[in-house]
Amino acid sequence: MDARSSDGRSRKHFSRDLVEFLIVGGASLLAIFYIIPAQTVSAPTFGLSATMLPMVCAAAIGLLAAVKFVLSILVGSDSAPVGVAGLGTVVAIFASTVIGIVAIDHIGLIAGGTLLVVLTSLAVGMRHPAELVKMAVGGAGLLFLIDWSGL
Amino acid sequence: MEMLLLGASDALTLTALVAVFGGILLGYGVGVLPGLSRPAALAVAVPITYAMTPIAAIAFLVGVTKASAAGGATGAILLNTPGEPSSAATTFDGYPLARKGQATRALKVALFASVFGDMVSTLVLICMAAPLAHFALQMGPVEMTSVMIFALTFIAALSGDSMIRGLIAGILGLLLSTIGLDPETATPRFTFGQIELFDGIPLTAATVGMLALTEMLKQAQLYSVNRNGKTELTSFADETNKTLSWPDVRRVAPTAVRSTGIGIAAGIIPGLGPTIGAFLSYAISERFAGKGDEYRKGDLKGVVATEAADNAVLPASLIPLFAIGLPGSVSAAILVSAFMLHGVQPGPLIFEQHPRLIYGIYISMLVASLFMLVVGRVGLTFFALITKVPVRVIIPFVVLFCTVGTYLERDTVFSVFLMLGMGVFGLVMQRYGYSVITFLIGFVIGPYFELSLRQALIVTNHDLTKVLDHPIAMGFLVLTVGATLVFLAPLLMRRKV
Repeated sequence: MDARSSDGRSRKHFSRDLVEFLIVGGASLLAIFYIIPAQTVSAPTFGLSATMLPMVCAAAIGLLAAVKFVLSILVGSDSAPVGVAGLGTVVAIFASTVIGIVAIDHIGLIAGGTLLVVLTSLAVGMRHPAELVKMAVGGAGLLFLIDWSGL
Repeated sequence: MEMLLLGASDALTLTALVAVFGGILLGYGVGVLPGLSRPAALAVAVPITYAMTPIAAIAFLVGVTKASAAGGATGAILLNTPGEPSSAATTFDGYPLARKGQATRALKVALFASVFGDMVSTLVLICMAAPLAHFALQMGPVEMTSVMIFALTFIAALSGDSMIRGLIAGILGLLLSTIGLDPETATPRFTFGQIELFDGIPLTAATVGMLALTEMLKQAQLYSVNRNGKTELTSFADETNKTLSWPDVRRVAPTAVRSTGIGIAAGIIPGLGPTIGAFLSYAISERFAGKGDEYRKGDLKGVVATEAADNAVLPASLIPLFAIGLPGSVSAAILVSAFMLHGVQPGPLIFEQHPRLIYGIYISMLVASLFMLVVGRVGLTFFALITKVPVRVIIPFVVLFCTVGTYLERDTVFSVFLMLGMGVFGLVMQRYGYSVITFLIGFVIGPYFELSLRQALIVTNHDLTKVLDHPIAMGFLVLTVGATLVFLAPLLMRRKV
């Protein structure tokens, strides 16, 4: 391993560790100074105030993020590379699930759930009409059983 | 002896046996499907038992409860989809085992561990209800807080390769568990004006989303990358060995015994429940891992640890119920309504007023364990066929189960969107090295911890020195310090955080 590639990898890891620290640390500061005060109600209590545990947790997270970042500089980073290949399928499944959930709410469990199965099948790459029909029939059958059971 | 024989004669009638069998079948179905929770199934089943005899009614409900605990493991192992929150810990090793082509072995060991934990706990109930109930009475808020602190130390133990990231994830789980109404003042906390969040993030949404849906999103990503037009991809390697050998049984036996003990303790102590029992048992078992053990990569011991504990909880939770009328779990609390529906008041007098019924229930519980073994053994042969199904067929159906299961639990799409959000969040966490396991531990334990801490502070009037007056609490705190040192020492020596 030559010095140039080692430096390049170190810079990449440092960037990633810095971004991680900024996100996690920033989120904990946002929680401490804005979200927790805005989203809790001050009321007299006998035991613990409503903000105590959330504040302690947020502060602990911020502190740990800072420690992690400092250690990554002093001892070395343990961040593994993260690839983006295949994320399109993940997004497609997410979108099809959202549509399916809305469909369940508007057109009912059986019809909406069947649509969810078909859309998710398309998202993972099924294209053959016969396969899609089988998936739809299977999904509809299962949903009918669940609906009929009354659970 | 006469009452025992009379009780046995009641429990072994055809009606009672059919009731137990029916309860087992219903329980398995409820356990396998996520979102169909055990307490909900019990609540629906109680009115059904109105026309039954008391022994048949209780036997039916006990069957439902026992089998749902065992059935929850099936989805956890095969699809990384825990049917019950208490089966979430079974996914840690069960699913990796299935991926390695050992699904049938995992299902078998889960079933045997379930039956073992269940039967031993039932025998403990039969023999030691009274003295153990006395111990349950000693557990006040101070003791419960110390137990919760002890449980939280396992967040460090289960952090995996990066302890700091694991701790961050665990504390984040603790933080998100505070969403909802403040337990003391009933004022909204982090609800952002959403009434649906008044009860917090549903446990089903968190476990199903972060375990099952996250796994399906990961599988979809891998499938997309590795897609091969010539061969059909499955999530699982081919099964070359489906048998559970005697060396396997001998290897996991100590884990089963230890985990059953942990499950019994979790059942006796009111408020802990099977979910915490299963997680605790897994964490403790992992700490006792020996050479060659591969927790979280697919080890039979990991499955045994959770299933034995999970199934040991219910019979043990009946100990305080029978002895002092105090239910040790939500399921036991629902059984109280069933008892009262049939004119039986749980409590210390139950042994004097209804001895024949009590012995009949004991025998029915043992019969239910045997039926669970038979039904589970027959069923797993069919369940294991799921491993042959291509991943592109599995993914849509698991996504459907996740969605429908979450929807059925709360009957709102809000909780389903929460589940979806948790699924995506879990995927992001895993990609960047944050442990979903520690997050879920913090999330599950959080509400119990905060409530017991508040109660403890009220009881002691904010005077920490009064903890010294509680020997059980002091014992757990000492264990906590010891456990923390044990967990931190090897990690600090490796200088890997």
